[in-house]
Parts: sequence; structure tokens; C-alpha cells
Amino acid sequence: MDKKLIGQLIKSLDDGLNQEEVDELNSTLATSNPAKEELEWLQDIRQSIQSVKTESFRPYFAQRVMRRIAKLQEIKHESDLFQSLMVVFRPVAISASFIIAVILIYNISTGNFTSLESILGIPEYNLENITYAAY
Amino acid sequence: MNYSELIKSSTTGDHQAFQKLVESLEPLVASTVIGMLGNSPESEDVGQETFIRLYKSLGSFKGDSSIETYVTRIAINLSINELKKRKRRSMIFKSAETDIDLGNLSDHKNPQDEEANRQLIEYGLKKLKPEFKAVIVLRLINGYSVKETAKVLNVAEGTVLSRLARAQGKLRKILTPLLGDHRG
Repeated sequence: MDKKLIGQLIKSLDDGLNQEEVDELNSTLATSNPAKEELEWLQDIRQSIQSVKTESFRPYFAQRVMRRIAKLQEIKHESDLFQSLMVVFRPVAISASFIIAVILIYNISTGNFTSLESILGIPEYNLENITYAAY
Repeated sequence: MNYSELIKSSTTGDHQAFQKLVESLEPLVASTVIGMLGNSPESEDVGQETFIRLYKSLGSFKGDSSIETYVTRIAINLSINELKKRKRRSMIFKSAETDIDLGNLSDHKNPQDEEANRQLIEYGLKKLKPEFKAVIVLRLINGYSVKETAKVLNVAEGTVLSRLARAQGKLRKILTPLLGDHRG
């Protein structure tokens, strides 16, 4: 069958034709049995498509959605707690890093860098000292 | 309670209101997602994801379109993403699913057989590209008007009409040999 005619038949079902095209199609349908059959076939197919409509998921779908949302909120609360801790401790961590950096720079500039402990200004420990201290 | 009241209560953290909203919108989302993806385990996942997205975005929902249009748009977009994922998966693991379906369908040529018809249509829909499938699902399964379909898909009405025509033309090509050669 003529592709243009099939296209027009399909469009006619979706109100996609202007009045002139509708009149032309109606006159074709009045004289052509294959065109009529084609239109019926298209209508049947559209009806069959409507019949595949499934209007629900498995039972208790809404409850499963709500459980997932509750779980997401739990994760969000944990992440909120982590964020709050970050907010509280970030200034402390930045200040501590700054102080350490100042001590490092000071000790390096005064030439006192025989070991890492001395650079950081903390007491020097070695294994022997610890062992003697235990006795 | 109507939709706007349920939405208002849901945004203030009323879980019962949101559950009611889910229950009311389930038929719409189910018909959209199952129409797009078929009755598969992924459909349930996409359905759930649709409502989770809705929950997360309720605060920014301005009501420019109806909640039905809004949730259908989410469902369609997620379904199209899922179809793309499926396509990528099937390119890696070539599936024998199509051949199995075709084998089953060729046994059911009686047009009176409702289940056979359903299988045929599902088979035909499965063969369509996502953008064609989307217009078929919205216009013919969900019963949206051409204008509403265009709004959900964010395309022009003319595009919806031409996609509908092409989709039905393709369905015709796919289904005619399976339904017998009395037409086409």
C-alpha cells in the first residue's frame, strides 16, 4: 500500500491532519477497501497496545519505596554528623598545622635540626632510653 | 487530601503523606515504566528510583506542570537511561532473549488469544527505539494527548506526531509477518 496513505491514516488517528487532508483521506476511504482495512488494522493495533497497560508493581510497592527513603535519610543523618564534626574540628586542625609549621621553620632557621624530634621540638626517645627507663 | 496538600505535607517531612502520594501515582508510573521496559525486575527498580527522585526534588517542585506530568517525565527519563544501559550490556553480552521471544510468538497467531496479542505487542514495543517507544507509551498506553506528550518529552507537537507515525509504521512492519499476511 502507498506509504503516504499509511502515514495519513496513522496521523488521522492522532488528529494530526488539517481539514483539507481529512477530506482527501475520507474520500479515499470511501472508495478504497484496502485503505479501510488498513485503518481498521491500525485501530486494532492501537487497542492492543492499550491492553498491555500494567497499572501496578509488585504488592507493597509504596512500603518498599518508603523503606528506601528511610534508609537514605539514615545515611544522610550520618553524613550530616560527619559534616558537623568537620566544621567543629577543621579550625583546630588548621591552627595545629600552623603552629607545627611555625615550630618547624623556627627550629630549622636556628640550625637545631639534628633529628626530626629536635626540629619538631619534642623530646628525643630511642630504644635504649626507653629500655633503661623501664628498669 | 488532594495532590497539592499531599505535596505540601510531604515537603514538611510527613512520610505518611508521601506514601499516599506514591500510592496515588503508582498506576501512572507503573504503566509508564513497565510500558517502556516490560515487566522485568529493573522496572521495579526504576519505579522506586522515580519516587526517590520525586521525594528529593519535591522542595524545588514549583507546580509549573502537574505532578503527574512531572513524575511521568522522571519515569520516562529514567526508563530511557535504563534502555541505554541495556543496550550497552547487550553489546557486551549478546543475549539470546530476542530469539526466544520470537520462537514463542510464532506459536500464537490466533488474534483472539489475548495473551498472545499482549506478547506480540510487547515484542513489537521491545524492538522500537526508546524515543519511539516513549511516544507510544505516553500517547497510546497512558492516554496523554499529543500536547501533553510533547510537554512530558519536552519536544514540539509536530515531533510527537512524526514519531508516532514512524513508531506505528515500524510496529506495522514488525507485527505484520507475525500476525499473518492478510494485511500489509
